[in-house]
Amino acid sequence: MESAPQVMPEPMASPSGRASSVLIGRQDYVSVLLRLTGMELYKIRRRSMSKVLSSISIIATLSLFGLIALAAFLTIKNGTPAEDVRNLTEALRLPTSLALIEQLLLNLGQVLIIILVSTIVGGEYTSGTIRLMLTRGPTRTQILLSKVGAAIACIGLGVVAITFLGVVTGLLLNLTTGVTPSFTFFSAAWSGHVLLYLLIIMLGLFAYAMMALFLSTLGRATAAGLAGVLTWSFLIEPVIVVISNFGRNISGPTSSFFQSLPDYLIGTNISALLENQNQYVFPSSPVSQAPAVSDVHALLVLAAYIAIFIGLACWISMRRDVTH
Amino acid sequence: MEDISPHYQYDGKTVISTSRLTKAFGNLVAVNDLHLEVMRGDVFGFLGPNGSGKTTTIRMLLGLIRPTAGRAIIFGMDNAYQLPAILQHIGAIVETPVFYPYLSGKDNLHVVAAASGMISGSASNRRVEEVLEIVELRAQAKDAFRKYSMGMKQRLGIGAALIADPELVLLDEPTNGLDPAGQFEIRQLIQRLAELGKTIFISSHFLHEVQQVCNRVAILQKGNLIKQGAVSELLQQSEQIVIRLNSADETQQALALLQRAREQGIDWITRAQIEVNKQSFPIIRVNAPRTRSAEINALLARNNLFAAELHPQEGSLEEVFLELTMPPAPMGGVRPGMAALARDSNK
Repeated sequence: MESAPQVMPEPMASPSGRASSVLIGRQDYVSVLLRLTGMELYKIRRRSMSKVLSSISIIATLSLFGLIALAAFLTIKNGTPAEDVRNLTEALRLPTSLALIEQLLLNLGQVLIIILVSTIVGGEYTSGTIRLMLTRGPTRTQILLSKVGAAIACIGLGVVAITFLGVVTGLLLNLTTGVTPSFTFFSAAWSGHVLLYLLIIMLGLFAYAMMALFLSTLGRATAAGLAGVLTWSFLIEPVIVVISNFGRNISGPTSSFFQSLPDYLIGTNISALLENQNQYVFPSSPVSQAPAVSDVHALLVLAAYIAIFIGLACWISMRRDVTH
Repeated sequence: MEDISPHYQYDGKTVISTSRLTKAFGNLVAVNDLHLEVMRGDVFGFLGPNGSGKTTTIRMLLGLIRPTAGRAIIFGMDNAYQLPAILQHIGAIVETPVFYPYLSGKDNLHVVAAASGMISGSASNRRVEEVLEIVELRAQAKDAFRKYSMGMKQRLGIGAALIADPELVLLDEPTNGLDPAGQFEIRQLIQRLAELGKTIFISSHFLHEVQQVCNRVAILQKGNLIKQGAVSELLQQSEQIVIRLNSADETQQALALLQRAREQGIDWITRAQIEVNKQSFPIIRVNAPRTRSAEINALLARNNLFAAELHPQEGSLEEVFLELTMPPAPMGGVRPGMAALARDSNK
């Protein structure tokens, strides 16, 4: 924020006053930000796009668990042994169903949240409504941060809703298999680790969402954010992993440089955080080898990405002239 | 006007004051060294041909773009440092009003109200209803914005500007896309707002409209301020006296006489030129106050030149505008008379 000059006259009180129906709320930074975030969520709720995205995620969740149940049903009809049916339908029951939900959220959910964030940021520039917002009083940073707030709310709500839907759907469909679910894993500690697991998924989605926010701001278009993040996560990150593997076959300082590159990718660090929770969330799963990066490393890398994306988006937004 | 120093003290009367406000886009200087003063209660017309820098100036005032140099003080606050506080007192439309196409007119006003800092709830609902009533969009309040006609969009834009009942209303081409009845309604609305003590800043191409509603104007050309003042004073400056004599020879003699009179110190004659009227008679158009008609008649008569016709004409902002923005004609020169064209077109 820029500092005010030394001497500045007091703001003038409006002599004509405002109409009695105009009630101005608190104008401190946080109150304005919360009001703007509420407004962003209201706009999201009223868009048909958000209804379409919600429908896609609900249908995908139901379909995924439905397919497993269907496969189990067909298997039972063929007289497959009970143990095989139990193994096949494992994904319908807790805690394994959480792994399926994680995959759904980190793949389809990621695409949907990128579409949403790119639209709410880039759409303001594409349609020109950014002018409308910027002439009403909030600062550019507040407007951008309100979109960050809206993204957090949507990610949180989306992850919780899809997890709940997936778990309940899985358990209901499990009734058709005749396999009795076991809840012996359930404990306070397990619940805590599941919470951490979901928070890591949210963090991963948030990191990509902030990349979308930055690229949409930079490109002043929805397409910039959408295309940029999809290219990054589905093309550039895999290519870097391939380059890293190539680095193992060469020697010298470039080898270690290439090999360490994946340790600084969003995807790698999210995977590392999730892997570190696997042994607690999925007690029956074999204990995996220690991941390449520690939790602290992963959290620092992700925090750095998020800070850079939000910081750059704010900086661009503040510096930019809003013309057409 | 002197520069506004960092220790500028607010006088409580000046709503907008710019000092050396300049904006350059690369080599193109869109606004150059602009000194504007808008006083409390003014209905201020901001005129200029296309590309003269009007919208750029409005954008600088609203903080949408940063000036290359200079500063703008609004309500005694520097908009480079206290923009949010300033914007709480301003309602504005910049160029074509743009809203969220998937929201209704009413919902768009709710969004604008929230962005303006208004508390949501029954009071906000009441205000939105009031504004819809003012801009006569109540019947279409629930229609999606994308279905609105240009005129309805413009009215919603004005509604959004008024939602928080601001003290300063900045309107960029507010009657664009409106039919004559719609333009009339907007003029009436502006007058009503002015009566309520609001300060109105209007950028417009419609000079007769500005003349009807504004008390002060500024004229911009190629980014430079070429005139600023009270409309009444500007109109007085553009008053003319039209003289027709009985022959072309007498017309030439009269023109020479008026030129000499000006050279000898009659400074209220600012320009005289020969034109051809609609009946193909040569006439002399003298730029002089209407109250001087008798003196001009007497001057001609003393020199045995007797006018067949002599009548004063009221000035118009359009003439002032064209006189200021067209290349000047020499004293006594014969020119096609763009101002005359404007006058004829007004008849």
